[in-house]
Formats: sequence, C-alpha cells, structure tokens
Amino acid sequence: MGSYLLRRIPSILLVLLLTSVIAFALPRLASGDPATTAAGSDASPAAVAAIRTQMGLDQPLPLQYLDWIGGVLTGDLGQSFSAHRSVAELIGTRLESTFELAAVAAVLMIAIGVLLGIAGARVHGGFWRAALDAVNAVLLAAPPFLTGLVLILAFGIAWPVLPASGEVSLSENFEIGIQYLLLPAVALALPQAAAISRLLESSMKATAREDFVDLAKAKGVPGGRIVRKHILRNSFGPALVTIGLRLGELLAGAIVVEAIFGRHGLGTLAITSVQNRDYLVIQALILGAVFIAVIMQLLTEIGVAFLDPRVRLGGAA
Amino acid sequence: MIPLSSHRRRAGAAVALLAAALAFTGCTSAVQTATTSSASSAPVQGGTLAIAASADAQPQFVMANRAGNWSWRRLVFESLVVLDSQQQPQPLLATTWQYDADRTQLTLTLRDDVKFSSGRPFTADDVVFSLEQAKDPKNASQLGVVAKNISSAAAKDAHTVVLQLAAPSDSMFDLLDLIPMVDKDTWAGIADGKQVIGTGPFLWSSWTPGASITLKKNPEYRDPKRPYLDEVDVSIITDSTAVTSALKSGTDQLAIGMAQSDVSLLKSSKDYQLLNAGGVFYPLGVDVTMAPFDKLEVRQALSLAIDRDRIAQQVFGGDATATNLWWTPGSPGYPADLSKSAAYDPKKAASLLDTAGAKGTEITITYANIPTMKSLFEIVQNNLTEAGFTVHANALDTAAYDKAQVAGQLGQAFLLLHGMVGFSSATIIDAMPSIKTGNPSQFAAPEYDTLKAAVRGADDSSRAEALKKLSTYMLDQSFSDILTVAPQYHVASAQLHGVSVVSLGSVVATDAYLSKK
Amino acid sequence: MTAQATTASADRAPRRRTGNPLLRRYARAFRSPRGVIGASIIAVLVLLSLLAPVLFPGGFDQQTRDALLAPSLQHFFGTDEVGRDIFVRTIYGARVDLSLVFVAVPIAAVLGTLLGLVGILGNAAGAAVQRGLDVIVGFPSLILGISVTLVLGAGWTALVVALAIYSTPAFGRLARATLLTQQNRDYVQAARMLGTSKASIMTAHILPHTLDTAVTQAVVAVVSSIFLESSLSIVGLGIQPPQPSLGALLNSGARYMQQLPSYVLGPAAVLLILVLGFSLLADALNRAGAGR
Repeated sequence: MGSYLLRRIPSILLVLLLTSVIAFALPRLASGDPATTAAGSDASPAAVAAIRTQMGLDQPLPLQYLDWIGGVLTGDLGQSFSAHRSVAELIGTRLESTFELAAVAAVLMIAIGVLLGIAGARVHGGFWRAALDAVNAVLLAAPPFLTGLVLILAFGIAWPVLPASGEVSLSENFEIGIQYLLLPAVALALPQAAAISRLLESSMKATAREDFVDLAKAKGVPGGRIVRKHILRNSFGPALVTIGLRLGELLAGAIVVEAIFGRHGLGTLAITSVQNRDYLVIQALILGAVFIAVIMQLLTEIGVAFLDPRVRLGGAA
Repeated sequence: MIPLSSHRRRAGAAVALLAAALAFTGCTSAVQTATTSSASSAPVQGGTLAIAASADAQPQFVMANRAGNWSWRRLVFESLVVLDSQQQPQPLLATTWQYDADRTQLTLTLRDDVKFSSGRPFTADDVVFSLEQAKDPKNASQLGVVAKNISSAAAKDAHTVVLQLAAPSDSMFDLLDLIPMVDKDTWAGIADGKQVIGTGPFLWSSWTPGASITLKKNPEYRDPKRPYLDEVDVSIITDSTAVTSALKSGTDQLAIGMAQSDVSLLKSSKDYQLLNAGGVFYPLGVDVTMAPFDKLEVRQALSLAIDRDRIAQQVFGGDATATNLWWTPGSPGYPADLSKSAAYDPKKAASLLDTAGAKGTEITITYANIPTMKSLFEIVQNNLTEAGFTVHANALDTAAYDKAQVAGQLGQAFLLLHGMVGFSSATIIDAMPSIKTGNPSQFAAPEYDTLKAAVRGADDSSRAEALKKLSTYMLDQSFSDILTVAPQYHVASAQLHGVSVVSLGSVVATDAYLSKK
Repeated sequence: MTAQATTASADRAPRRRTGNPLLRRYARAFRSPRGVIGASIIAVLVLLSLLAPVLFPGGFDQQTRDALLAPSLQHFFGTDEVGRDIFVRTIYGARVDLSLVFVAVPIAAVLGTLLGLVGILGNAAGAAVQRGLDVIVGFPSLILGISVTLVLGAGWTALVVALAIYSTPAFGRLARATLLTQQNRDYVQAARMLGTSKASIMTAHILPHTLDTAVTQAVVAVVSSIFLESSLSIVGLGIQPPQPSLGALLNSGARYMQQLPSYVLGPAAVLLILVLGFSLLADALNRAGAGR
C-alpha cells in the first residue's frame, strides 16, 4: 500500500495544478471584480481604477497567478479583498461549522442509506415493496433546501423542539451543538441516503445471484451470515464509490443548507465571495475542495480494494 | 429469498430508537420557549440583544448609508443631530445651531461631556475631521456632494464649529444627521474592523467578516444609566427566508432585511412589531441617447404602460405608494396633486408606441438579481409586452451590476433601487443616482440644472413652488419613472422595547431593553 | 451463472446475427409492471410538456390581479404572486427541465462512460482521464454552476453545459470501477486467452455491466441536475424570468409556503412523480439487464 500511495503523488499534484489554473481563471472570466465591489456602485471609474491598482489587479495575469501559487506553497493564502483579513483566517473561523455539519450528515446518510438498501434487497413484493419504493422516491426527490424549510416550519416554528437558526460548535457544547445540527444534517442527508440505498440494493441483488452465494446457501449457511459476510461485503464496492461521490454532493448541498439555517460555514463564505468577486478566497476554497475530494477518492479506492480482493490496488490505479 | 432473522433485527432497531429518545429527553433543550410578553414593563437592566442582519458590515463605509451597517452604526457612533419623524433636526452631539442672515454660515455648539471610547474627549476638531471624510470620494458617502458645499469648516473653540457654505443648502441637516463623528486617530485603519472607535453607548468588540459582530456596553458612556443592554450580537444571514426563520424561531429578537412578503404577514401579529426604517424608491430608467428611447413619445408610453397599483399590491403586499415622484412622500413642499397623475393606460401607451413607429421594438431591461427586483421585472415585462414592446431580461448579480453602473453601461432600460426615503428633496436631487448630474439615463439639460438649483437653495417659503416646477418638468421628460415607493421595515419581537430607527435604517439601541419572558 | 449466460449466447450467436442481445434484454423491461408504470409516467409528462403550447395557448406569463388564490377547478394549484396559474407554469417548468436533462444527462452519460472505459486501452491512459475527472468532481457543484453561468450568460445553454460537465465524472468513475472489477474476472481472462478482441470484450462483457450502474446513475443524475438548477435559481442564475422551471417554482413557492402551500407542494409533487417514473423505469431496466 505504501508504494501505491507514493506512486499516486504525481497524479495528485497534477490534479491540483490543473485545478489551480482553473480556479484562478474562472472567477476572472466573470464580469466585475473586487475593485468595483469595494468601491460601490456610486464610485467614479477613476476611483475604481485607483482601488484596482492598490489591490494589484492591474498586473499581468501570469504574474498574479505565480504570486498566488508561490504564496500557497509557502502557506500564505493571501488577503481577502472585501474583508481585509487573511484568507486563512477567514476560512479557519468557518471550517469547524461546515466540518461538523458534513460529518453528522455523512453519518446519517450512510446509516439511513445502508439500512434502506438492505431492506430494499430483502423485500420483494406486495405492500412493503411499494411503500419502500415510495419512500425512496420521496427522499430522492426532496431537494435539501425544501426539506430544510419544511423541517424549520415543522420543528422550529410550529412545534419548536429544535433550533432553526444559528449554531453552537460541538467542541464548545456537545449537547446543545448537536441539536443545532440535527435539522440541517437531516435535510442534507436524505436525498443522498436515497441514492446510496438504490445503488446498494441493485448491487446487492446482482451479487446475490452470483455463484458463491448459491454455494453458501447450499452449504446451509444461515441467511444473516450470507448477507453480512458474502453479499454485503462484495456489493459494497460500487456502493463505496457512490458514498464517495455522495459526500461531494453533501458538501455542495451544504452551501444552500447553511444559508437557510443561518449557519456560518464555508458554503456561505463561498457564495458571498463569488458575489463580491473576492478572488483569493474563491481560489483557496476551490483548491481546498478539490484536494479533499482527491483524498476521499484515494480512501475510496483503498476501501474498494480492501473489500474486493479481486481488485488489485497497484494493478489499476 | 434469503431467510433472515428479521424479528431480531427489528427488535434491535426498536430498542436503539427507544434508547435514543430517552437520551434526548434527558438533555437540555437548545430552544428557549418563547412566550408573549406582558404589555408594559419597566426597563430591565442587562441582557443580550440578538439581531439577524442580511448584509455584512462595512466599517470603512460608515460615512455612507449601507445596509450592512444599520445594525451597529448608531450603537458605536453618534452624529451631530437626529431628524425626528417630521424631519426636523433634534440635538444629539450638537446642542444648538444658528445660520447667519444669508444662510451661508452655520455655527454649531457641541456638548462638552462627550468622550471617545478610547478615552479622548470629543471636540470641534473631530467634527471638522469627520466632515472632511464625508467629502472624500473614497468613503463613498451618498451625501458627498452636500459635504463638498462646505467650503471651509473651522473650530472656533473646543466646542464650537463654524461651517462656511459655498451656497445656501436645504440639505445641511440631512448631512449632519447621517455623518457619524469618527475618531481621527483610528480612522485610517478602520477597514479591517480591528479598531472601531466612536462616542456611542456600545463598544465594537469583535467582527468575523460575513458571520457575526459583537458589541458590548460602553461603561464610559456619558449617560451612566444607559445603555440598558449588556451586549448586542449581530448574526449575518444573507438568505432572507433564513432571516425570517431566525426571528420566528426566537433565535433573534430583531430582523433586518426580511423579505417584504414575510414582513406583510407579521403586520397584524401581537408577537412582533414593525419598525419603520425609511423606504426605497424603485425607478425604471431609460437611456435617452439610445433608440427607441431617444423619442419622447416612446418614453411617455413607457410610463403609461405600467400598472403601478398591481406592483404596489403584488410585490409589496399593498404597503407601498403607487406614485411617480422622486421625493419623500409627505416631506415639506411635496407636490401631492402631481403624484396622482400616475395613470395606468395600456391602450394609450400602445397607440403612442404605434404612432412613434416603435411597435414591437426589442428592449433589454437590466436589473440586479435580487428577489424584489425580479418580481418587479416580472410585472414590468408583462406590462410592456402588452403595450407592444418585446422585452428581454438582463439579470446581473450584484458585482456585475455595480460594474455596469459605475461604467455607465446599464443599457437601454434598467430597474434601480434607491434607499432614500427620509432625505429632503434638496438632498435627493444630488444624491439619487437616477436623477443627479451624470445619471445613467444620460439626461442633461440647462433647464434641468436651473430648476434643480432652485430646489437646492430653497427655504420654507420657496420650496413648494420650486419642487412643483421641477417635478412637472421631470414628469414631462420621462427619463426616469418611479414605479413605486415602498416603506422598509425592521421587525422586532414584542419583547424588545425602546429601540428606534433613524437615518434611513440605522438602529438606535441606547434606550433598548428586553422584557422578561 | 453469468459465465453460463455468456456461453449460451455464444451458442446462439451464429443464428441471430442481426438481433442485438442488449436490446432484447432491455425490451423485456417494458413488459414488467414496473417498466410499464415507469415508462407511462414519463411518457405522460413528456407528452404534457410537448403539448403545453397547445393545451395552454395563453403561455406561462398570463398575469392577473388575482394573486395567491387557493387551488380550485380553474387553477389546480392556485395562482402565484402575480396572478399566474401555477399548474400551467408547472407544466411549462417541467418542459424546460425535461429539455435540460434530456440533453445534458445523455451527453454526460455517453461522455462519462467512454472516458471511464478509456482504461481498457491501458492503465496510464485510464488513470490520466480519471485525474481530469477528479478536478471536476472536487469542484463544489454550485460554484461550478455559478462560474459557467457567469461566463456564458444565464440561460438555457449555460445550464446544459453546466449540468453536463457536472454529471460526467460520476459516470466516468462508475464505468471505471466496473471496468476494474470485471477486467480481472475469470470469464474475461478466459475470453482474452481465446484471443477475443478488446472491442468485443468491451461490448459483450464489460459494457452490459457498465450499463446497469449507468442506468441507475442516470436517474440520480436527472434528479441532481434538477436540484442544481434549483440551487442556481436561488442565487438567481437559473432559467431567466418570466420563464418557469421546476427549480425556480420550488424556490418561489418555498417563500410563500405558509400563505399558499400548494404553490410549493404542486411543483414538488410533479417533481416527485417525475423522479418516481425514472426510478421505476431504471429498476425495470436493471432487472431485465441482469437476466432475471
């Protein structure tokens, strides 16, 4: 495994390099820049130009890119144009909020998804089949922001048992903090759980038809053990890939959910930075997001190899 | 297919759920049960006020009127005067003021017991400094033009300021009400919000950009019995529906930036109070140098084509004035009889368009992509399509919109918004982007300048006449059509007492307190 | 069992040279109850959308003074804040959304699967392509959507491009995962030893497995795409007014949830039915594909 990881490093660096170029170029292609946002809509073009020079935005683009990359490699992510704080500081204050939301949502997503997937693989007809299908379809079709709003109305305002706005970090106060996380995490997790359950169910059914399962049944292995040791483990490969992809969706969905629940995480930072054209913050967030995705992909690949010995880790990177 | 010991499994799940439920009931709830408060209550010492605000603070722009600063600007800073509900100046940091005979010299006497939170006493030099900042374009004050009219400001002594004006101006008290008195020692570094020093009842304690602002009671405030509150926490929530959730769930007691549709729902509720925070003008402007709007008939057709009543009803829940004038309704000299001429006549509009040979012309309307402007656009494009135009949308997000506005490239037609209800007419003619010199409609004429000058220098006897003449001229020229003037509200829970709103939206919490639940 | 199926079809192959075994398998899907229900739901919605200009000739922007009316026989879902019939707008909205996903998702599926299967040519090539896809996956989807829209200008084309880019990597990853799993299986090794060309290994053995997961992923992609469009509507960069889309309707409806629940529930129900239709169809195709 060690040599596998080592061999992956060049490709990871390639991905990050590609991303850095795109992250740098993309925001600059849109109309408007940090200077206009800072100057306000009543400013004169001369005032805006002066601010632009002050921000260093009139320098040739390759030079700006190299400046930025050089900074990143030495640990300096730059200064936010609209908040006049270091980008690292801005991101640091919001990191915990998003991380906690994503973690709780991920746990819920996997738990609900796996349970529903196993249930779906077992149930074959009649009322329960239809009911499961309906539940799955409803969950799949529920956009996080809509679910979130319904949950706020139901459990935050009509029958106020859970807070509908704001946050308390888990490290500060776990008991209270988890209550703030429950509604947004559920809103985030549901559609992803449904997606995971579908894939797991179809994967499990396909595996159940394989030879080795017939063999196990013929040998008289109890049903529960068949599901756990043989089917689940072998069908988890594609499911794991899906979980990895779903985690990415989770982070994406977190942006909107954070906005609705008044949480101050990286998602809301991303949106305001795009609105303010705060280039350096956007660039840092995109780079960070891709980096995390790459790490998760790596973990997924290792996980798939672990579960399915037919897939050799080194053989097909 | 596969026989499973489902019973065991189901039992296990049930036990787990039960255990979770039991564990839950054991914990403290994060939700405080909100109950409606009793009617009258004596001021309560202490407590923390939680505010939900939809825009982030911009400390470097306190000289301007920016929504992100409404929640804290008058807690940390104070100005020389305060305009009351009749728009008459009341003393705050200035105690008395006097014009000379030809109204080109204004002398102000200041309080002598005011200190900055750094400990330094507030003197006339600070007034001079602050007014200088108002002139500086870097500080983007909407009243910069009015400030520039002050040709010189001098401190006659520690508590007397003499302002020399280039010309008599009816806008001086708008200026003295808006401009905060800032600390010249720390002003240069105010942009990063690490040090924000004022004379107000609260101290700027901390700011996490885009997330939260914390203000603490100023123990050295000149009135030892104020403020009642210990702390004010502002949470920045950009989504307007989330602001509503924050207020209605009891997390926050004051909401700034709630969507209009949600505000109108709470109007008759006993649990909430609506605080009037000025209002917004919504004009539809056209570029008079671009076809088809270089033709006067086409511009007039535009004005007749729009159903202002429906806009007031459907976009603002009926709580808006379907007027076409640019001045604060009810302000001194307001030509009320003219405003009734905002007629909705789609047939006449269509025939005007036909005669001008502009039927079917394609026009593009540029607007900022926020919910209110989007709703406005939906109705406007529907009306204009009926009249015979072919309408295209150009929705820009805020940054792109600002860029277009600065560069003067808003296109043929554009929907703007100006939060200026509360300013006097004399101030509006120089502060409102749609109608001031250098407006995006590219409208300029010597007659226009003359009529404006008359309003600018008017006094009580000449104001009504001058304003009427200017309004008639502007209505005829139709380069900017006010669609509606809508009031703006901050919404507070019934628990919050003693709070007021001044200067076009800034919250004043000197006398504020939260009654016990 | 799959090995037996392979040898069985190999036996049959000389007799049926024109019949495509893949198509035959999938045709079976439309005979199962799920397939029928799923396909009918989709067919009805597609038909309604296509016929919208005929059924509702007034269009989607008939504004009146009767704002926020409750549901009635005249207005099934009631009227919106500027007096338009919400049911009519929902059908037009479904029309726009279907047009978006029926273009974007197949592009993404084909492109993604092909990219994912590049690995059959060699590991280095496959790995390189995956790195490219990794960049897209890691990009926060909303930021990706916003960026593409800001560059291309908000509207239908920008959305198709954004949705296609956004959906491609998932197909790519799944295709590659299937490739890796199947490549090392005994029957594939056997086929290779028999000298079968890479192309026919692809079509006969690997592609069918890929299609199973791709079909399921397509359903997920359709739903995610509609969600992404609705998120973009929230920040004002979706389909431009006055044109409706399901996402924009959900968004506006949510703001009036307390006053007029049908404003959001109506479009949400239509979205639900749409998703249900695609899910049932995908299930049926899956089962038929797996040979049971």
